Amino acid sequence: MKLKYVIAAGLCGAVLVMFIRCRELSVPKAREQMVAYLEKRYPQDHFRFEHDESKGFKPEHKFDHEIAASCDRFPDASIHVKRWISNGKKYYSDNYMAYYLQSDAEACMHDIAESVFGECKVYMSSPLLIYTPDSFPTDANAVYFLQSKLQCGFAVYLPPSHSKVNAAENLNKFKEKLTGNQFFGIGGGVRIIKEQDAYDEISSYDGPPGGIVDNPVCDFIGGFEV
Amino acid sequence: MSFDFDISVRIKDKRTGEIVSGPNAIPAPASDYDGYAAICSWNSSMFLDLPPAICSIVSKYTGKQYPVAEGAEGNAIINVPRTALREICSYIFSRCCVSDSELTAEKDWYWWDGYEVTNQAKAEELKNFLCSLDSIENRNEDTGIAEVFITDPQKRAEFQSNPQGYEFEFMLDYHYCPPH
Repeated sequence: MKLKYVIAAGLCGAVLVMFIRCRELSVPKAREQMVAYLEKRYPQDHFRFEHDESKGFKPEHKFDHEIAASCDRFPDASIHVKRWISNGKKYYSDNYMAYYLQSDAEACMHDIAESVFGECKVYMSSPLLIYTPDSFPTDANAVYFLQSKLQCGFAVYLPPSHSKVNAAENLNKFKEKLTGNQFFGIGGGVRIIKEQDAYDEISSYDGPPGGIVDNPVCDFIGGFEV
Repeated sequence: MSFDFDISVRIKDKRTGEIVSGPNAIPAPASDYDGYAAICSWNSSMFLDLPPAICSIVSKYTGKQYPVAEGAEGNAIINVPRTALREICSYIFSRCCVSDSELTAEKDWYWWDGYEVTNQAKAEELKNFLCSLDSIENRNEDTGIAEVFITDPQKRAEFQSNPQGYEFEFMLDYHYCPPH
């Protein structure tokens, strides 16, 4: 009788050890697979694993793993890959295309804003959390990116020479042009920067250090979400 | 003293206007505040700095100024554009690792440790929600939103069969009553 218990306990222990071992092995394997996914999908670049990002996963989200990687082409970027498993099939999404197309998308949005408001600067908010699925074409251009309902934020900055007269009308024209180009899932705000020096300093989404929102040199024209 | 700050969502049937999130479905027309459920929430006054910073991000999209100053008593309900959520999420991640310059005698590394760990968990919750929304927008597949936010089994099944038939509305809910 005692022997039965000893064997049963031994078997349970062995199963537990195997389970823990599998868990230990599965994470490095997932990392390898996800870096390999990046290398295969974006062969023009090289990727290195940085760290795991999947601490907060809960069962209801059905994501099994996420990593952060670095790449040669965008040294300041944190490339994230997330994996989701459904019916035994693995689906990936990553934010590489957002970094890859960021400047082209800004240029595209700038052309439209300039045609309505005249001189302006346009920047996209952080591409870090803009994930595209593995079905997203890797040869997509900025127009396709902006037509893909990716929920990107943009800021449009106008110089002090811009008149507030007709601002509301211009904002409506801007929205019409966005929808006319089939751009959807895009939002943000349009601001006049009241001092030329402050306008000249803006070279990124948030403008000068400390941000632009509460800056007294700023006049909000209106928000857009299409 | 009480402090509550939530980022909440409600789910609306595009065809009928019915709100399907929350404990019971609400037929159209629903009030502006019905059917919201928290995606992530903070319930300790150690996070008093978050509401004004997040409202400031929403301002970038709406141009509105919100009556939420750090430590100010009051209640505020603020609609949030969908496109602002990624930036809000990035901001919460930035508060998962505060700089040494923020260390003070009252708020030492031990205090900030609790602050950072909580923000990391909340940022992950919001990011996972946003990735689930991406799955709906990209593939019309629900990866768990219905399970968490829709209680009515029939409404849940209807949502899961065509999640793109629904729209999502977001809100910040701020309440603070400081000690008197």
